Amino acid sequence: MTLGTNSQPGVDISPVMAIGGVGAAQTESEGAPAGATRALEEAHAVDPDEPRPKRLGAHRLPLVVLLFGCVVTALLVWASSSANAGNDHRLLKLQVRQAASILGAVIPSIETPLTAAYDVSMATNNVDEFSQVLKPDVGSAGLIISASLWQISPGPPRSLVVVGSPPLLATDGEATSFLGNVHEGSPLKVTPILHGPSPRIGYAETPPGYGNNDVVYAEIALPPHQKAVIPQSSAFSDLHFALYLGHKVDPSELLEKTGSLTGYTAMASVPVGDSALILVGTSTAPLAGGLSAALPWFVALFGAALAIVGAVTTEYLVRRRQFAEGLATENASLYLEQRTISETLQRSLLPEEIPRLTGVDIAVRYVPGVGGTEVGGDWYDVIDTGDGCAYFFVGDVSGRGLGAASTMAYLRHALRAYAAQGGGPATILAKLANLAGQTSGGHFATVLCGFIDIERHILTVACAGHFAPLIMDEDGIRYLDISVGSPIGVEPAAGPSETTITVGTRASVVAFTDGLVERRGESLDLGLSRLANAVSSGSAKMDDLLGHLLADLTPMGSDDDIAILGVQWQG
Amino acid sequence: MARVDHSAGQAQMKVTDAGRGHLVVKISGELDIVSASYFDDQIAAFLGRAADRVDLDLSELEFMDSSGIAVLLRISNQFGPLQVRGAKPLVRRVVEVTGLTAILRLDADVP
Repeated sequence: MTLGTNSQPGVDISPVMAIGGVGAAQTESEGAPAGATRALEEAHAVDPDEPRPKRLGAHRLPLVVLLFGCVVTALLVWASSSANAGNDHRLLKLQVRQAASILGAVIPSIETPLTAAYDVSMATNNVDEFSQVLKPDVGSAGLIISASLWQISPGPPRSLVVVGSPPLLATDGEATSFLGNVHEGSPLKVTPILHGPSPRIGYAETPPGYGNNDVVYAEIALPPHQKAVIPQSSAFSDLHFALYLGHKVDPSELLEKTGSLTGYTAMASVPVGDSALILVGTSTAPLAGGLSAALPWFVALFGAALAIVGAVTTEYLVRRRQFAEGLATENASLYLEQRTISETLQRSLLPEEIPRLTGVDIAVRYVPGVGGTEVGGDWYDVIDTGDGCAYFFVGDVSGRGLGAASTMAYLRHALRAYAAQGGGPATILAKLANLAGQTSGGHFATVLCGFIDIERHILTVACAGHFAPLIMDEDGIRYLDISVGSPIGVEPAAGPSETTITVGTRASVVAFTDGLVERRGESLDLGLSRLANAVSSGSAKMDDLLGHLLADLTPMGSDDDIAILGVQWQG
Repeated sequence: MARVDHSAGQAQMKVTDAGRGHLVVKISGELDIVSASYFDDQIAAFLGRAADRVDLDLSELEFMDSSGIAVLLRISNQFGPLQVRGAKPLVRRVVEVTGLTAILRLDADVP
């Protein structure tokens, strides 16, 4: 294991950050600065300025909202404008049909005076009566410009009497073929457009009840150049129309028209004798009313405003979210950085290297508590006396923070100095208690001091308020039965006594701090027996065993720091 | 951090003046690594008081770990060895393991 941390912000920080161990000490034997620098570099690896992977498409969201709003608006505009157009078309059809039916009503106004005049002339047997009766209705004042009575049999058709201007039909020379086809009982016969000084159309009929000898004929004038004028007061003043003679639209049979027909047109036809009139019309103004015509514009304006407001709101929310995410990431990296600095400090206070001793395998682990960012006060140390013996220490300064860490460093170095002077563990701890009693900074510490004679398999332990070590050898697994003195820094000091035992050939000793065995709300003895069980199921190699203990006892990490030291005789 | 459950491990401290400079400190609830850290201000205020004798009433202390010991030791460092009343086995064990029976005198140890 190295000084690794998970540099991904927001990802759960790996609770196990063990350092040391004989192996680790070898790989990082370059010295303190190397380890410390590396941890700080890793803290910088989560620089908040580093571009973060952005939420895909978040910056495009306002655009999407705007587009969506525009599409919806366009659909509504289309729907309302097509509803309006549908209304307009329906109303136009109605108006054109109405206009056509009014045109159709013109026919009786031509037909009735003609047949009435003929009836009178037949009753009086005087053709002059025909002209007498018709005179008031014919001429520039009335609709009929020319009226005439024709005898069509026997012989070719000849005009008996003419009222008004001479019929154009006669000058066309088509009278014979046209009038010859008029029979009693056949519908009113309509001529094609008759071209003359001003165009006309003619109507011919054999009045019923007098046989097939006579035909009454009338011509009505068409407006010059087929240009019709609709008075402003007319109900159809909003219409542009064209009126054609015949059963289908034929431009050469155009009777009259107003303006040009553009846009949507409606068509209606009305029968006139044996022919028909076709009216094609279009509207010059919105028939469904101004509001209906303006509705699509209102919808468009309102929709566009909504789309813009939606897009702006989305943009605002997206920015706020990105800001919050940025802040969270920054906080996470600051936390990680602070934590990493704490750990770096803690590790710089722990021994860089554990001495390698012939005949024993020594492994260590330090795991910071998962709860906070403050540095803890747990430590371990091993001192090689150079004559086949060694001291080992495991300690825990109360509290957290820089005060605890500096007290820890102070106690650890004092212990190294006392160990260099020699003496048993009890002597060393008594010296330490004496020193701490004079300089106690409000902190106290529990310390386990061990001394091993490797060759002779002798273990001597003294304990100041600390947990007894766990021993595993041929005699089984047990906590060493020792008399515990009071913690360092506590007055009045109760000096610890020493316990010396001879251990088996492949004995293991595990010393630890409270983070490994204490669990909130649980008896201490439960934690201690859990540790003993974990040791019995652990690996033979000390470094692996410590890893196993951490994984087994604190799978989610511990609130408190953990320091563990294990010594295993090789034979 | 989310891992520290603040709802658990709540502890209360109550000081009773028994008269003639005798104070009884009653700590109840759970005194552990989390709740002990929230106790700092109360302890600091208490340490400013004058007393000839201080007793600890732990009869309603349900749980204590070595961080809780630190709280008790701050009191004993100020006022000397304390008589501890009514400590439950779980609490007694922590005092015994840390070798503090001379300073935190459990009532069964007192004849």
